[in-house]
Amino acid sequence: VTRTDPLAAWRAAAARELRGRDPAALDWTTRDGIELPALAAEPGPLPHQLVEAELAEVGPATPEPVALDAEDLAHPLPAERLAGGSLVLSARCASIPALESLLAGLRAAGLDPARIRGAIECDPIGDAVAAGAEAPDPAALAALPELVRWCAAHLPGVVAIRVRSAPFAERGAPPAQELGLAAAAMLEYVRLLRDRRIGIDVAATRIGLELDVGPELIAELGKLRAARFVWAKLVAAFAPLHRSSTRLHLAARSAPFWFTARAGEANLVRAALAGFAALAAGCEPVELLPYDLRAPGRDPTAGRWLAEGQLRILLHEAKLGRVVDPLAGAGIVELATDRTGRRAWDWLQRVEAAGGLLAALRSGWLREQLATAEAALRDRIARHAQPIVGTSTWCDPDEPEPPNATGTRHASRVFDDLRARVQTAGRPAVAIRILDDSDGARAAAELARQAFAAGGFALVPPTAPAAVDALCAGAAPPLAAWLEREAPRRGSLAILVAPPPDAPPTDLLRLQPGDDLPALWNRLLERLARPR
Amino acid sequence: MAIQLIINRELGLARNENPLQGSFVIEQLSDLVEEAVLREFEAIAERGGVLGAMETMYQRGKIQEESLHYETLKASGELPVIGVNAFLGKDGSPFVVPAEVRRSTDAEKQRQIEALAAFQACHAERATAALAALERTTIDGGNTFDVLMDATKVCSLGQISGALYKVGGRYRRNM
Repeated sequence: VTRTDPLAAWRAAAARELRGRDPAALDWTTRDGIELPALAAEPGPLPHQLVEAELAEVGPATPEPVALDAEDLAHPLPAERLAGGSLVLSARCASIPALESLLAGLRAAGLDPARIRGAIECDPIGDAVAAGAEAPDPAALAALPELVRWCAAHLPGVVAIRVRSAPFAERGAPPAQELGLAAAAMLEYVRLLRDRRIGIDVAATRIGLELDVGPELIAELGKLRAARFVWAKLVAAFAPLHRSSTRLHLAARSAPFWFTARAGEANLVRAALAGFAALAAGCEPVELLPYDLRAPGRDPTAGRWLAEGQLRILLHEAKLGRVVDPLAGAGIVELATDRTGRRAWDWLQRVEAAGGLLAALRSGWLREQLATAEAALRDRIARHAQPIVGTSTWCDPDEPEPPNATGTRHASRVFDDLRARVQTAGRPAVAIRILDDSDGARAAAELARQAFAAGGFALVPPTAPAAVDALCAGAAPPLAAWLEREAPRRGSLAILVAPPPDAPPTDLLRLQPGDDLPALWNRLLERLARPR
Repeated sequence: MAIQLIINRELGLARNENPLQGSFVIEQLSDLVEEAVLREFEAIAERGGVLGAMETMYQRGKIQEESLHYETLKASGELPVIGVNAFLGKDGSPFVVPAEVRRSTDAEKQRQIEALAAFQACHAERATAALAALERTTIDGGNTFDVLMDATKVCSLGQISGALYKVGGRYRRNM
């Protein structure tokens, strides 16, 4: 099968399996609206310059980064770890005196500054977006050219400006938009440096990018791999002298936005798969956040210990850092890379049409775009188009409120807020009533169980007193009979779950697959609060 | 279960059939593994098939070689196992480490022996017939799987193994 026309063989096998249904029905679209086929696509032409060799090369393992803050520079540096690793300096290190101190520390530790690789987390535009400001700090922007010159002269392996995609991703931007907006920020820095007479070959090698890795792994892989091609295209527009100037310093981390406070152990899986995607896409460094980030446990070191272990397993046991771009050539990954890159480039052009990212920030254009993206994401999560396991779906309704839950911007917030409201209302009891022995009724009961559990309602047996009766029937007659005979006798509120098309007309609430669950349960809480 | 749900529902990895198909390194590795498997088949065939190779201890030797190879790599640290031979924190795991490996008690062992004896006593008559059928089918070259399906309902693993040893002999490796 894999030797002769694999795609045709897959299509034929899928057609047999689907018994008449068109295999194209399995195709899907990413959050950006990018269509991806369900069956592995042919490799086809490789559209970007990332993949140059047919066979992956074996290289050294990606070293683990050493993170330092300004206070750390006053102490002896961890020479042993720095010798084989890379450096991540917080934005507070972004001053010449602090960097002079670092340089002295490196020399005192017997390390060659020219061999140190790493980045300074300096991104005034990202800081402004994250803070909701209309413009970045002018002093921070003004200091960048000197910082870039100093790094180029003294720490040639260190990136002075590292643009973060998190401020865009955490406002709902889907992968391609996130990449396009981050690229627009990088473009603003290139222009700023060019205006201060710093050529593109110096500027491009002093600017890096850190992407957050969220769900939808194929789309995320496309984003991570497309970042290099978008950056190369962007830099090429400034006519660099050296081809190496188009190389991107790409870092990645597991997106904290998608970490949940509830069912926090699930974050271990999210982090591990984000780490896989980041390392497969050749990111360096890669940061995996602790699983208990949003609800720290009693031992503050445990989550960090596990996160370090996850990264080490991926690097040293799975040896993911040893092969350059191991997914190169895979049909679906190449397709996702190409389409995400093109969509990101479209976003970059849109920002340019709005006058560039700084102008877009000042005019409110960027805020509008992100508000639209945020509303779309909230809708996807509320309707389960983007499920969050343990929080919006497959959750434990009796799981208590996690202690110490932190964070205001996170994907699961809409369901966390819903749970809080249901808790405040005293966790109304819900009895799921299966009114006939049909597949439709059983499917409706499962829908009801998942939906009420996501709201944190108390699910009780049908015999127990309940504030809400969730009625599940595959046909109209048993539903009509229950409403006529049982409903008047009970003091509960009934809700129809996935009712059949000919269900009796009532003003009762109806739960359907794909409903905006928080909105529906808010209406239910309002009705429960009314005197009956 | 949560892992499967996250992989399928959140990350959408089940949305694409064989998403790594076409990857240069994976395709090359697949070919290398396939070639290695075929080479192994040929090596076994040259020795007269699986049983013939067993007589010359081919498989055992290969397994021992590989085992020695990997143990050497683990001992030297070339094959890191995180938390075992690499990245051993001085404080150990912050999670609770089991104090001992749990083994069954003598009472539990005795209970299991008694349960086996009771099972054999209970099915003594039917077991004799089932074992006889198994022996006969094996000698005749019939479908042993079919009679095994009946035998497993009334015979213990030891009884079934004993019956097969009786008619088929017991493998003893050459030294």
